[in-house]
Amino acid sequence: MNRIILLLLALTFLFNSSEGQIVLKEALSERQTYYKINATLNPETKTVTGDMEAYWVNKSPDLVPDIRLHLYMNAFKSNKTSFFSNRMISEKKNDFGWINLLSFDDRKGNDLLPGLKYISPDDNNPDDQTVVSVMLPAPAKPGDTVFIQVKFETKLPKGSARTGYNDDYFFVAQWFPKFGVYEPAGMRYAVEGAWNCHQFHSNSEFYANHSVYDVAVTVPADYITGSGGMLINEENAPDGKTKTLTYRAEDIVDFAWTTWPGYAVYTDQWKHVKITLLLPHVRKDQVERQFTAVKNALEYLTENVGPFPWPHLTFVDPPTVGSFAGGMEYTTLFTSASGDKVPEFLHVTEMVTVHEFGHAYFMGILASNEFEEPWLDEGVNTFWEGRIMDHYWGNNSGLINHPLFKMSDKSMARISYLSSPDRQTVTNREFSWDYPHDSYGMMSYQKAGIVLHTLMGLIGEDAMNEVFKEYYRRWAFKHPSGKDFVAVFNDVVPKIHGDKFGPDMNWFFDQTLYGTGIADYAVNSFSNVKIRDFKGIVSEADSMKFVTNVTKDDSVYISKVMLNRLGEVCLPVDVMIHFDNGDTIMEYWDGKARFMDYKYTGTRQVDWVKLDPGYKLKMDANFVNNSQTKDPDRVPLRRYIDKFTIFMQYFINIISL
Amino acid sequence: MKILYNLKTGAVSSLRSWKGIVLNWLILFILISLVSLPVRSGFKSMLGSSMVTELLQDSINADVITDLLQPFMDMFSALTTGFFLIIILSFFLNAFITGGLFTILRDSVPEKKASVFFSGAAANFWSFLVIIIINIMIFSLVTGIIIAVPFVLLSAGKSESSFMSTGGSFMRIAFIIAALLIPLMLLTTDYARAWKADRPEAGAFSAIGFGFSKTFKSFFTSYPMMLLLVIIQAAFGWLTVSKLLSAKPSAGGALFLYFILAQILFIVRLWFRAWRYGSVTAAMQESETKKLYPEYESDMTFVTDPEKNVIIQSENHPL
Ligand SMILES: [Zn+2]
Repeated sequence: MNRIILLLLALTFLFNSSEGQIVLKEALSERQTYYKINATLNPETKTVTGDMEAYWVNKSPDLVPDIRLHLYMNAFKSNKTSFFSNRMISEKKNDFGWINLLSFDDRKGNDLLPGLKYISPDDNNPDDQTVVSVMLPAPAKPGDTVFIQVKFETKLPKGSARTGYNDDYFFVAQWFPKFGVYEPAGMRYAVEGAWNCHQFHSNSEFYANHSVYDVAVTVPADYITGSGGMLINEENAPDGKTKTLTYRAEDIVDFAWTTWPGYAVYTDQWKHVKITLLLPHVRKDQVERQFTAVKNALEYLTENVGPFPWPHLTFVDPPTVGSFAGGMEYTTLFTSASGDKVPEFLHVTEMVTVHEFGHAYFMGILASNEFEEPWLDEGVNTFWEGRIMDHYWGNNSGLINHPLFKMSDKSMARISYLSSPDRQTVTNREFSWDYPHDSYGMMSYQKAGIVLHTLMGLIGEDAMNEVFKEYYRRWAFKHPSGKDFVAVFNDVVPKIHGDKFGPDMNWFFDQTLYGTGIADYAVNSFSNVKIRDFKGIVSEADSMKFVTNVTKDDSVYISKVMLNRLGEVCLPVDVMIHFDNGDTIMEYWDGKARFMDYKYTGTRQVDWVKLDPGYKLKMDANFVNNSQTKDPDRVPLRRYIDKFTIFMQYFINIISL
Repeated sequence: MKILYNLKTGAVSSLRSWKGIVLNWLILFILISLVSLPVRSGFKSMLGSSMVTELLQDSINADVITDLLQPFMDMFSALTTGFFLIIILSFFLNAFITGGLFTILRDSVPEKKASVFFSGAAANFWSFLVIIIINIMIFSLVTGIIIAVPFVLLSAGKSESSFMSTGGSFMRIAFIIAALLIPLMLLTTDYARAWKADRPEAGAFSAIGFGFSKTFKSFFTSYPMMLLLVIIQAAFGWLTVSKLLSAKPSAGGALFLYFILAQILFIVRLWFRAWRYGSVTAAMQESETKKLYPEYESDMTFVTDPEKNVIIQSENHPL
């Protein structure tokens, strides 16, 4: 009896705190789940022991008999887990990791452990324990709140796939039992209500409901800690050996934290957002670069997509010992990646910062299912990363800005896609772990990113921004799918462009994102042929006569421009034709046929022809064949050869003493 | 004063040996053209009559590289072998040319004639090659030790944060020490070559031995002189290379001028080196007891007696 009253009291407290607002003015999501965790790190045994109270609300019309939770840390439990067998990851250098559920009770104090079963919905791997199904004493009715109380012990693996420890460095992610997403019929692709709770694969990240997190972590007193929450309270233990930090986070999809005695802490402010940066002391000369990168991303995404609602944001540049934690996103906490010395011309660190911050939008706010549609966050985010980098760090130099070599972020994505032998192997309809030939990264990041750059080349930057603003309005703090994403294009693009691109944009996505073809338009050739005045034999009645017309002296030409579509993908393309008298004509080819010829008659001759003159169709597999001219400019080539000669001269001179 | 005198003597004799310097340039230029011309025509055919070169105006462009990747890789793999062969060949040729230069830079050769240059080049070729290779090996080893030892000592058993803060400055010091070794390496090599050029009969290893002993015996006059020369050369080299490589002449005429200017600057650079050779030769000669030597005849062969280190016999014409 007493126990129940206590539990009810605890529940009341739990509801008050989970419903209440501490960080944000109002709830941004449905808050179908909630977590309150007290965690203690033991730096000697590399374990985190936790006490978790959590709930899941059945917002579906279904009777749900069980709950499903991710136990990600079990991916590191043996060399037979799906994580290790997916990709040839060496488990040798890893110290294993796991999560043990010490107790698992419901709100009435019923022990649920007997109804607990490890399942492997993706591959039936009996050695994988990263998903658990827990039968409820009675099925959860629509509107029911399933409350659980779990004691767990997490053994961290030695730095692996973004989580774990190395020496005294800790990055604690994927560390607590976490609800899957229950998808009722009609949500995303669900035809009937079911849990969407995938195993932990090497090429997959997350899918979760937006939640409130109240997390208290106890760490050694001299450790410096950062997390995705807002620091509410900090208290030292009476013995002075440890301290407890209490964090609160609202409407984020995952909660991770890091602790290391070697962090230096810097803060900055962007509008309403207080930004905290943790990085090793040796990299203090990169602080300015890091803050600039994150503030640029904040500004650009706020302007072109939607607001960043949280007043706090923490990001971490892990030290070399913690490099395993680099490049990861937990919405209000993310990790960059850098080295102790990064030359100014190389913007890779900024790129990682911009990318990982971008996930606060694509995955954090717009919480798509990364297991099933990795392109919808990685590809979309790569697209925005490219735009941000090239906008702030130079259109031609977003990634590298050296006098001898410049590279835009978009070009980097293009080179990865087009130079991959698997660029035509598979479409983007695969689940993240199903991409063959290790094509997951190229397909879901670079190809998808380049597809969106190409689309922006077609519909224009303003229309693209309108689409994303609408996507944000419709789907922020919900779970959009690929078809929802395309639907926004289908609604917005015709509103801006009328029927220029047809009634919808499915034709584009079907060929590119969901197709395997490549795009390649080429100028076949062009010619200018003088129209001759008549000269020849004319038959008259019963005689034949040689006739030559000497009255006209005009030079009239028939100019012909011949174009080809070499690739399978059909895209409308602009054609720019320049004549020797200075005229320029712009033609618009729908790009559907295999060839297109244009004919002009007049006193002018064609000088040069350019397809897609702005190089906007980034998918085009070959820019070299996009143009032809009578008088090619050899100066750049000669200049590089001269420079090569100069370099060789000095090089040989120096090495030969 | 001694330093200034040697630098002046070196400058004068190297200027008078201008033909050797121009020859040096010409041979190197032809050698490099063996790679650069095929590269140029290869790219020309890859680009055809495309206007994509507009993307190359600012810098090398990743998109264009992507699109030419396959032909580029084919060409590149074909040319890497050629590239290494040219490096090796240039090493040999350099041994030959410096053999000629060191010969005509001497006081005893008042007329800097081509025939003297070539006979000296031929006579000194093998020993110069040995001297250069041995000295480069010795100094690479020493430099390697200077940099590797503190690195290993520091990285062993130290946590990252402390290594990076204290280790960084240790490594910097190691690199400075290694940089200060460069004038030493040049001095020993140049003394060895100058001495060898003066003694057709001497062996390469005796020359290396002389190079080291002379360097350390006259350290306080030689080292500052060489340091000065190295600094001037390095500053000139750095300035010209960085300016030349970042320049962007965009019209045909400007590009032609750019090319001419670059070649003139490189000849100046070669002269700087000959100046160095001349100064070292002067420094060696002023302390050595002057000996009279016959002018070289191309058909002469010298047999050496390592004990006495003097010419005892010439096959064709007894002395
Ligand atoms: Zn990402």
